[in-house]
Amino acid sequence: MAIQEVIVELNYLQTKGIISSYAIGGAVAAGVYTAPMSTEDVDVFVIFAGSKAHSLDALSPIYGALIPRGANVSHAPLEIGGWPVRFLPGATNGLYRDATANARDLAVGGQTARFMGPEHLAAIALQTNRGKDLVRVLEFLKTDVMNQSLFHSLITKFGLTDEWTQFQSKFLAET
Amino acid sequence: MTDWDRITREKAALRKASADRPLEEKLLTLDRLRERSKSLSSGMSRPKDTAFAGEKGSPTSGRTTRFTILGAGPILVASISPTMTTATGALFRDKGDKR
Repeated sequence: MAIQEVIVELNYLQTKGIISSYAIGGAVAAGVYTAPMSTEDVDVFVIFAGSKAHSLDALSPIYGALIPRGANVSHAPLEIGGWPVRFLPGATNGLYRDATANARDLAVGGQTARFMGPEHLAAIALQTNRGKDLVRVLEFLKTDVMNQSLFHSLITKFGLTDEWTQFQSKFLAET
Repeated sequence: MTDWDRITREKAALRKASADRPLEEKLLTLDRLRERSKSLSSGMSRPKDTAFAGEKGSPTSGRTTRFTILGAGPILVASISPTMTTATGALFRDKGDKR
């Protein structure tokens, strides 16, 4: 089981032009900036090129390319290197698209992997607004890994001011 | 400084140390966490190097201490969560323990 196998396959998809770009998000990306936390799967936001960008069946080329290379499809989602990998079309939401386009290229074991930045991860967490997501925002703030100016610009740009105000009153009022 | 202040300060230091580890090391930790989570949820016996606080006969039994949980590094704990208690109980049952 190795998450690095997932990275190899994602880079393969990009090299072959099956996807235009990708960014790893969710708990795996959050763990890049804070302490790693147990998670069940890898969330990968993908941007498609050409006609596939607006297709209802956008994910089929990914499955078609990776299954012959050993990806396991017996369980949904696709399993690579023992990890369930959730491919999420990144263009369906303005914030996801921005997070994917501005992901960070980080060197991992001879590969370059694209991870969403902590500012975008925190903005997405405010948008999804689940308990576990808000804990992630708190963790980013405690470990001081975010560029505050960028984070606040994302809050404004993607209309998350109410969510941020609510978060502050719930979690930051007494600190 | 109260005990709680000390615990909070130690937790912050551990969190910072964990956050500063190299990326490859963090990804390996994610792999290990996933593997152990899978083995726990499937009811399989745990990996050999997994240690649980409170295990019968373990030095951590029945008291608050520093220990290694699921390979995530040293964590200072004040109590065992219901989730951990349940997971530990499941392991004991696997071993024939009636608790």
